[in-house]
Amino acid sequence: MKSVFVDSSVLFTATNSPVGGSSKLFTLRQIRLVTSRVVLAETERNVRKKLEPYHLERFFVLVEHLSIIDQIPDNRLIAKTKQIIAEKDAVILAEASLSKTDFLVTLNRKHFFTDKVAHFLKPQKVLIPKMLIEMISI
Amino acid sequence: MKVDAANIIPITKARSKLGDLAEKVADDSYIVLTKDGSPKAALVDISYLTKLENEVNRLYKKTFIDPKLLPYSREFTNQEIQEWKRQDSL
Repeated sequence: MKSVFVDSSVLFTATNSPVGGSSKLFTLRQIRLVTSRVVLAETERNVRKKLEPYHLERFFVLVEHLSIIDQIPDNRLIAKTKQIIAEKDAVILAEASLSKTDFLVTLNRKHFFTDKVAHFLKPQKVLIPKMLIEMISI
Repeated sequence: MKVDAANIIPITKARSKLGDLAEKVADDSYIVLTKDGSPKAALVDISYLTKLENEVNRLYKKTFIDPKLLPYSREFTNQEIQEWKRQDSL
């Protein structure tokens, strides 16, 4: 079974909307969804600040579908990823790399869909949820 | 939650029959009081309100927010939240 690292943009958007690709990912049985404690902390912080109280309950329900990697952020790796991607996304790129999953799913196309990121994560591939869903359904 | 048209009452009309209305609310049925046509307040069964408060407290106690990890996190902008929603459409 392929493993997929879920980043904050996907987890937040799945919490925010039950009808998009991010939410659909959580219904697929062919993949194992994985995330890190940093992603959970970041997403929850933003759910509490930007969304309605009922979204928080949905967030906790979605998290039950995730395997949580107990990894500690690697400061040396983050310093390296800052050279590869916009500084604001460096932590997530490092976390995805540490997870050693087959895929990283993100909705941040602008910063994650670059040759530098693809080369850094190789063989891990970066996809948006829609791409992953289409790939699985082929 | 149960609220139908009969349970939406202008404050001006509610004033004279507050005692009757208080008897009417039970469990998750409540009365919405309006002012100038907009919802202003609600008359709620006290046990239901307590239940809601307890549920919210329970929910807010549960957390993945670890103070040691917060420096590694950031606040999303409204612009990127909208962009993600757009990218998420199937």
